[in-house]
This record gives sequence, C-alpha cells and structure tokens, in this order.
Amino acid sequence: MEHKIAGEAFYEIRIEGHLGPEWAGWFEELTITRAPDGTTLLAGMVADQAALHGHLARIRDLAMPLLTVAYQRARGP
Amino acid sequence: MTMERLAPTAANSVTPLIAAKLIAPPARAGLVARPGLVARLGGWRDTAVTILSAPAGFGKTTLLSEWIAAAHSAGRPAQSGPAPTQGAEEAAGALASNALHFAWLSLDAEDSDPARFWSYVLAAMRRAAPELPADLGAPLWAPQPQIDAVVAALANAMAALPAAVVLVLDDYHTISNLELHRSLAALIDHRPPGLHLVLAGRADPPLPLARLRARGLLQTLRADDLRFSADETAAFLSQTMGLELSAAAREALERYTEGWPAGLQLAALWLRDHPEAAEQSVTALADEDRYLIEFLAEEVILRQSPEVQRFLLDTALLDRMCPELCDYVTADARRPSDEGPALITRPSGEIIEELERRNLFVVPLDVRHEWHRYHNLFGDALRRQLGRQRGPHAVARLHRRAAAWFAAASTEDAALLGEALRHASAGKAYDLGADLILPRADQLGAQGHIGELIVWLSALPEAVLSARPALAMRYAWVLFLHGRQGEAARWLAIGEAGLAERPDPDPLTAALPDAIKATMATTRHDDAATLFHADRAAALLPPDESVWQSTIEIARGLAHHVRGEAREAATALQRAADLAARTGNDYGNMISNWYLAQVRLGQARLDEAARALRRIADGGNSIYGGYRDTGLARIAYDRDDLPAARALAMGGLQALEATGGQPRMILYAHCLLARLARASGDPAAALTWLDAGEAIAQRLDLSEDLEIIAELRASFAVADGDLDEVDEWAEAAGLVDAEVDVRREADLLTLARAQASRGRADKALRIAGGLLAHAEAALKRQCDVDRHSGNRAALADRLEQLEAAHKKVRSAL
Repeated sequence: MEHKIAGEAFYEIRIEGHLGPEWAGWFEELTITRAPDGTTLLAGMVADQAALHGHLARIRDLAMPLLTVAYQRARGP
Repeated sequence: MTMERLAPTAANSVTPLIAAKLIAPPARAGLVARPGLVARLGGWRDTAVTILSAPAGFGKTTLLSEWIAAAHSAGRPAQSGPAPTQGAEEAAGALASNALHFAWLSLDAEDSDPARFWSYVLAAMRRAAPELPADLGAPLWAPQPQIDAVVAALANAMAALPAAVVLVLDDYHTISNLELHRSLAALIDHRPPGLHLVLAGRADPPLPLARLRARGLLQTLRADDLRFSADETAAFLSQTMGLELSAAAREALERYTEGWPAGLQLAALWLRDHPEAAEQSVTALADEDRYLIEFLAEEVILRQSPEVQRFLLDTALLDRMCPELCDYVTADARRPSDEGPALITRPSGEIIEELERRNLFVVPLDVRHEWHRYHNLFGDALRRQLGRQRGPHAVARLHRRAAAWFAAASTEDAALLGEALRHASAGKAYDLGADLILPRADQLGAQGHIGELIVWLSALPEAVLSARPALAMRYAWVLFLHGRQGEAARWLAIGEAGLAERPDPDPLTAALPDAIKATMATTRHDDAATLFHADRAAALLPPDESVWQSTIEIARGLAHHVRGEAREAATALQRAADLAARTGNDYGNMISNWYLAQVRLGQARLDEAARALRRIADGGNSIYGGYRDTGLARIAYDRDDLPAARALAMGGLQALEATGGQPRMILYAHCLLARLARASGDPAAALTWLDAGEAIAQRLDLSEDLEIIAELRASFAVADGDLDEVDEWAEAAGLVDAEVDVRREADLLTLARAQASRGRADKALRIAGGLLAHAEAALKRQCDVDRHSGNRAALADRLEQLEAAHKKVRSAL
C-alpha cells in the first residue's frame, strides 16, 4: 500500500447554515454556494492537506457545524 | 495638614510569561543544510507575510532555526580597522536600518486567548526591539482588554522604529479564537513597514490573505517545498543518520517516505537496526499496511534496549526534560522489583545525550543543552505506547511525580509551579495541585506573584477549592488584590462557611477572614470596620510570624491615617515594615513603607519619608523601584527640586509600566508629573499628563482616580482664574453645599479657594470652618494621648493657633 500525503485535490465541504459573502476573502480559492436547504457548500481546488485543514480550522473557529468533507478528485476538472 | 488620598494597591499585573516560548530553538549541527529554502525565506523584504504551512514532521521549525542562525552570522559587520570618518554616521545608520531582529513566539492552545497572545507578542517584540515604548500593553491591563488599541499602538510604534523585525509565530495552527485571528488580520492590514510576519503551522492560518496574495505580498512554503529532494535525502541518510545504503535502497526509501523528513528519519532509525538486508527491509516496509508513523515509531521504540525503552516511556509525558527531572520521574525503574533488577541504571543525562547523538527525536531547547524535548510526532507515539504498555495508572503516577519535582523546584523559580500544576491537572490530580499550592501561597504572594496565583487557583475545580477553606480564602485575597471585589467576596464567604463547618488544623486560617476584611475595609476608607477586624485578626493569629501580621498592621495604619491620627498610623506602618522585612515579605515591605512615607509626608517630615521609601528597594527597574522612585519624586517636588523630581518621576513611571500593571500607581505618577509640569511653567504639558491619565482611568473604570484627576484639573483652573470650569466641576462632583467630609479635603480646599476668588466668602468660610474643626478635634485627641511626651508643648501651641483661626472664621460668618 502506498502511503500518500495527498497533493492538490478538489474538495467539497458542506456546513450547516448560510455563510455570508463577507467571508469570501477568508476562504480563498473556494466557491461558496448557499443552498436552499439552509446549508452552504464550499468547493474548490485545495493545494494540499495543510490548506484543507486551514479551511476546516476557519469553519471550526466560526462555530458552523461541519456536515461533510468529500474528496472529489486529484488535479483540476 | 492636607490629607491626600492614598493610592491603594490594586495590583493588576498580567500573568507572567514563560520565557522558553520566546526563545528560538537553537540550530542543530549535523543536519542537512537547506540553503535554497533559507534563501527563499531571506526574500522577506519583498513581501509582508511569509507562511510555512505543512503537516508535522516537515522541518518547519528546523528550517526557521537555520534561517535565524544564518541571518545572525551574516549580520555581523566585518570590522578590520577604524571606521572611515566620512560617512561613518550614514554607514552606522544604514547598518541600523538594515539591522534585522527576530522576535520568536512558540504558540500552544492556551495562547488562544487574545490578551495572553498579544502580551506574548509584545514581549517577543521587546526582546527584538527593546526601544519599543514600555506602555504598549496598557490596553491589556483592563478587565475588558482592548485588543484593537494594542494592535494599533504596535503598528504605530513599529512605523517609528528604524530597525526591521521579523516576528515568527510558530505552531499557529493551535490558535482557534476568531477575535484573535481578526486582530492579527488587522495588524497585517496596517502593514507597518518595519514588521514582517512569519506564520508557521500544520495548516494554513485561517486569515483573510487573498488581498495580500493578489498583490504579491504573500510568500508561502508548503509541504511540497519542504520535502527532501533526492540529494537532500542522500545527504540526510549518510551525513545525519550515518547510514550507508545502496542507491536502490535509497530510492526505495525516497519513494516510500516521499521526502517527508520525519518519516525518513524514522525509517532510517528502523533501518539502522536492520543492517542485514537493507533492500529487503525497505521493500518489506512498503508492504506494511499500517500508517508509516504508527508502524515505524512503535518498531523503533520496541527495538531499543530495555533501559532506553523504559526511559523513553517514562519521560514521554514531559513537555520538556532535564537530567534531574528525568532521574526523579524514572526513580521507580531505577529500583529492583519483583520482576527483576533495576531497568534503568545510567544517569538520565547520559541517556539523553545518547538519544540526541543517535538522532532519536530528542531536540535541545537551549544552547547549553540543559533542557530537551521530544519531537511532537515521536512524543505522540511514545505516549500512545506508554498508554498501551503500562496503562492509565502508570500515566497518572508519572504525572504526579513530575508535578512533585516541579513543585519542589519552584522555590527557585515560581513559574515552575505552573508546570507542576499542569502535570497535576493532566494526571487529574487536582487535589495534588491544591496541596502543592497551599503551603506556597503566602510566600508566593509575598514575592508579588499575585497574577500567577490567580491563574493557578482558577484552574482548579470549584469543588476542590471549596473543600479547602484555607485555600479558598487565599483565592479571595488575591482576587481582591486584583480588583475583582465581587468574586473575592464570594470566595471569602465560601471559605468562612467551610471554616464554620470544620475548623482548620492550621490556627492561622481562623484569622484570615478578619485579616482580609480589614484590608477590604480600607478601600472603603471605613476606619471603624478596619480596626475592628484588624483587632480580631490579631487576636486569632498564632504568635509565630507570617505575612498576615504585616497585612493587619498595614490595615491598622491606614485606618489611623484616615482618622488623622498620624502618630498611630506611623507606628503601625513601621511595625508592618519591620515584620515584612523579617519574613522576607518583599511585597508587604513595599506597601508598608510606601504608606509610611505618605504619612510622613502628611507630617511634613520629608527626610523620614525618604528613608521609608529607600527601604523598599535599591532602585532599578522592578515594581519596587517604581514605587520607590515615584515616592521620592513627590518628596523632591515638595522640596522644590523640580529637575530631580521630574527625573525620578519619569524613571518610576517607566519601571511601573514595565511591570505591566499597577494602574493606580501609574495614575499617581501621571498626576505628579502634571503638577511638576505646572510648577515648571508648562501648563500645556500638565494638561497632557492629565488627559493621558484620564484615558487610562476611564478605560480601566477607576472612578476614584477619575475624581482625583478632575479635582487636580479644577485646582489648576482656580489658579488660572477659570472659575466657570471650577463651578462645573464642583457641581459634577456633588460638592456644592455638601456636608464637610474631611475625606474629601483636597476637593474642598480647591472649592474653597474658588469660592473665595468668586467673592463667595460665606461658602469659603463654611468649608474652612468645617475642616478646621476637624483638625482641631484630631489635634486635641493627639494632645490627650501625648500627655507625657515632650511634644506636648509644641502640640499645645498648634492647638492654640488652630483655635484662634477657627474663632476668626466663626466670627466672619
């Protein structure tokens, strides 16, 4: 089994609640979509695991409940 | 006789800082040099912020240490003869402006509190740039710390400095406070020219950096940048780890670890113990199903000798270790048991040296290699192994041993008690923690460690405190000294209730409620209550000396002072000072001598006042020096030696500000400097001092000091003939037609002068009459007490003069 420390990858993160547009600057490179079901989707290319955890830390510190974190694919579309 | 309002000592010092967090880890020999990466870091002048963001074990901290060491050796100017005379100043200036200083701060989860974080940042900045103003941290002293003000002040201060500072915040991923992130973002927005920020951590810092990045002002080094290249891997394996491998084995290892330095090191350690068939081993590694770190760490640990293994596990819980601490913590393993002979026989110092030599993840914390710690990942693995192999009871026992060692060592260094308590908490041994603090609490308070005591005691569960009335009441005491009256009252009540239920074996405890109440009464200027409680406390105190004796005598002295009984006040305060000196109670010594000096000032006995102040300290930059010099400044002012007064006042103020607390004394100094400015013919400067003082008092909600400042303004207004301003002030202060209360003597005299200037003789005389009556009564009391002293004649004279004056006033009305 290869132990990979993942490089660039496309991730989708879903959180409970709507994230206002003023937070866009805090989540670089992620597209923020407010869904009608009251959740927000943050999606985009993430440089590496450290960048992903940076996004997760922001969400943690905003106290918005984390619903899903999904790895979609490596490299861009 | 003017009765000044004394400045009680609500000590409001910020918690002490752990020095180790402010010291950059030393660069280590034998590691692979990474000049390319160091050069990238060296390009900091073109950017505002540098980010090192990579998981644990990528060598972020190591790289930063390498960079700092390189910068320091490069910065030494080559001096080969006298500097050229022409342009020497420009050269020196260029050197200074190119001078690069590093401010280092190692963060942990406890630093997620904005006030604490910024206290540490300021301390780190001051180590790098000592010329930063001493009162930058003033907005942090308030009960509601004002972070924006600190950030703005820091940005402005940096803009004024010629030197450049690189502020390194290591392990920023431990910070999880949104307000803190925002405040750091604000500092970055300010972008003071001389400040460059380096944020290192395991995740991208959660800050809004998009704008910086868009403008090319952000530099980032990520995991991919920090991975070992093929050359670096080769150098690491042969140079650092002393492994000679075939090219094939090396490549296999590279593929397996993907250049992750920590993984490479672990794999190399593992391989070193498998010298037989390196290539097969590496292939076998690649077939392992478990996570690299988990597998390798366990393997590496289990392959050590029984002695080293036991040592590693016993010391796994320590955040940092020195030989003596390790000897103590491993004591059980050094004794033969039922299972066999002692497991550990070599001194810990030797074992640590061996671990370091063999690159077994032991990292030195200082240049002298007195203290070491385990690298995070390895330490984590050790702790997991410890839990698995020996179980929770062993873990708790090890924490307790560490706590005991640190507690014993704390007699030399009070900050170590904090580490003791952290271990006690980690071992869930809160009772142990409480029992460690209690016997040391009084001495710690006497040495002025009030802030620490508050932090340590508030970390204990309430149930543990409530079960110990002796400790609960000391908690009340330190809370009171910090101006947290409500909480102090609550814990005093809890302590008293506990005492009522079950008397404490220590007789001293019974006296505490009254001793504390006596001091609490002094801040209300309630002389009757003060003396009542002081007498009761004195009756209950055991005869052997303690810090509480001087506390009681200080309270007595203050009560007498409020009553105008100067001689009794001086006697009590002198007794307090002597007691304090005898019991090594530096803090009590300072307070009692300070108040004694105030009493002597009231008696116009300036020499004795100065003598009292000189007993506080030899001078210098501590809180003691601050009190001493501020007091001596006042005496110089009374003697009309304005230059000396100003020098002493400025020195005292700086010393006080450097302590990060003592706001009421600082305000006293501001008022004195205002008076000095006026006396030197600079009324504008006087108002500046008052304005500055008022801002501090408002921020910290110190109402009594606001009143004092207002009265001082009014007295200046009287002197300037600006009587409308005085009228406004008198209205606001509720003095107009009020009862003559001698505790507001200063206010009343100012008002009387104003009324007289306005031609309102009746009002002026009413005040004067009231104050004279009180002075007469006090003097009469002195005469009665002094029946047999030689002073009697002089006192009787004064009394006659007073009575004559009073008669005049009464007839004029």
